[in-house]
Amino acid sequence: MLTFISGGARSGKSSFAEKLALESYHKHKDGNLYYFATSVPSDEEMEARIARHRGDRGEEWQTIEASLHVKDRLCDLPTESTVLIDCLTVWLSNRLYIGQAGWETIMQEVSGWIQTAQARQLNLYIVSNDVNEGIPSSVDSVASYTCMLEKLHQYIISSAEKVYQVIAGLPVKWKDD
Amino acid sequence: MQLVVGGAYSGKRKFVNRKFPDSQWLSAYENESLTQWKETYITVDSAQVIEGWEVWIRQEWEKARELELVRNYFEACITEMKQIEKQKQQPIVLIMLEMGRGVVPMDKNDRSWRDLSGWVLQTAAEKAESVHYCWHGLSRQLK
Repeated sequence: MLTFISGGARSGKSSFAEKLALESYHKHKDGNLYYFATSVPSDEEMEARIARHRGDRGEEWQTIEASLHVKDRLCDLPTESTVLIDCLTVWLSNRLYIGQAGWETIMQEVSGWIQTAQARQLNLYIVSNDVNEGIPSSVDSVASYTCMLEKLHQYIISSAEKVYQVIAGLPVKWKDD
Repeated sequence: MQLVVGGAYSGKRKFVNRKFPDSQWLSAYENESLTQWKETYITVDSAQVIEGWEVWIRQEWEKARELELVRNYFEACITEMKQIEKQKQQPIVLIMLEMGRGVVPMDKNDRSWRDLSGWVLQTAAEKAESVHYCWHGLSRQLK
């Protein structure tokens, strides 16, 4: 099962996604509950923030570092596990600017996540951010990043069973197959 | 008159192409001028799609540098479109960009551009019989 959740900054999308993932975990007791962390701790402040988030999530969660390679990590998990990837925007910038990946590699990787999740019967929750509703950027790299992110969103949504937009902490359901 | 609104790359064109497969397009992204709309609309017998409003708004702002003047220009334009559409009985479809949801721009011209785009969008939504919002390739009717 694939669920996609997006919204603006500080819209409550992560909390909502965590709530859904936790419910999924309680329904599928054979599997585990994983938080795929996409951020790379760059300094002490960031490390402290990551540690605080980890503490807030509760002991059901296992955190896996997945700043670049998500598919390989998914392959190792027991079937019926629940996985929350938070968030796609950070992963995409890591992949582009640290991993130096091209667009085709990125699409293949994300398509690999979805195929692996289906094959291993994982319950996958992908969180992303709506960054395309502000003033258009005159910087080419920002515009092409936004374009790529939108293509990924549309690709993930086409395979997702459930899609939510979170506004002020409230989920708006866009798709429910 | 119909309005399709959404963020950048959110699937607005795809949505309009599906709904109006045989339409003719007037596009600021193809360096076409908004002033051409009447000429093409009257001569061809099909739905008329008009896109790239934020580009034209920016151009008018650069020329006039006066908020009310630019705002009135676009409002008059949309009002006229609605009147002529009534006579011709072929739909006019406006595609507009949602660009008001970021941080307040540092640059004064960007702020004016963003304000004007929001106002023009509101006018279009008010005048349109239907409004669709596109979000990551999905759409929802708001009006």
